[in-house]
Amino acid sequence: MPTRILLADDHAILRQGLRRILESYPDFVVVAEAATGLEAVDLAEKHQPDVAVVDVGMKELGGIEATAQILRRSPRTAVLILSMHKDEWYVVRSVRAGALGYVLKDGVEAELVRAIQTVQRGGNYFSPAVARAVQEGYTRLKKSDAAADRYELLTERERVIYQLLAEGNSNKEIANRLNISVHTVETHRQRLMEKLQVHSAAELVLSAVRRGLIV
Amino acid sequence: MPTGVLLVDDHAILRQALKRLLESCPDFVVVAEAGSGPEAVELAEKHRPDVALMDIGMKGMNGIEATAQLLRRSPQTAVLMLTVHSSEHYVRHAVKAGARGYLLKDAVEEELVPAIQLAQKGGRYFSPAVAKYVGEGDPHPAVPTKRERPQG
Repeated sequence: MPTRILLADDHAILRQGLRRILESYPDFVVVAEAATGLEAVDLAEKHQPDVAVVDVGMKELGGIEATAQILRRSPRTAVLILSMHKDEWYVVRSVRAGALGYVLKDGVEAELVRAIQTVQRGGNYFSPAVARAVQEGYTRLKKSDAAADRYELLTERERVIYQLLAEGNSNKEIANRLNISVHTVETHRQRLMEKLQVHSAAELVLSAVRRGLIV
Repeated sequence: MPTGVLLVDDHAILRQALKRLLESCPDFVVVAEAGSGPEAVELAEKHRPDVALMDIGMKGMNGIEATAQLLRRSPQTAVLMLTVHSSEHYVRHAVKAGARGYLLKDAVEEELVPAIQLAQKGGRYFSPAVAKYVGEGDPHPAVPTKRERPQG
């Protein structure tokens, strides 16, 4: 049985090329492509892939929160983050969200293939440049700012709506995207602003930028 | 003769993805890959590619400056920007530097291939989202306006 893969990245041209690369290996098949984090969560639930290759910077829902939500809906999936960010901040948060591996975009095809094979077997794979960040940062983060980040207080739904609001969508647009009522969006908005302790739309956007949620 | 293409992007995985896409089409051969602006200039001088696909956001020398330098060394090369940046500022500066086209990375293969073919034949191609900044259907390069901010 070939390894069934979900590709999530906001750049179509990269997804198409990666699909071509991966499908040149007989043991890989790409079952779905997602252009946003929210799409990735839906498609993971639908396809229950063996491996999800997830970009960090995506619209609607960032790759890190998307990882956590993918794993709740498809616990069998091994998530491999594909990112341009070397910073400890991203790597450690990805691991906390449940990713089994983290590969940099300046890595090559051979590394990506090895990483997919490794996480698919339940192992961990980190690009050499980020492996140290994981070891050093994990304990430190656990103790300090993880608990301090109010983002952790938000529900799944609130996290999606938080990012959609920060990206400039109106309540009506969000209601349409999520198939819920404007009233429900408004309720979520008030609650998440309370939890995050932000008091205006501008402050909300700024806080999302600071958390690295805006692409 | 297939079209010789130089790929310029600081992410190796994207270069490989593009190479795979292009070389699945018999009209293209990737003659070189560069991971930085200076490397692109050097490789263009050496290989004289028909087309260069150029990223903008690269450390050291950005793709717009690299385009200007590349064209001084290899004037016959058609440079197409391939980038995540869709702002007017970047589009205009790229055109001023001599780029023959501007593609966004959310473009698909079906857009990329004809764009390269067009640029190679001396035409210009701009992704729909940015075409308005250069005047759609306008055969002449856009002239920067007073509103334009200085390059930062």
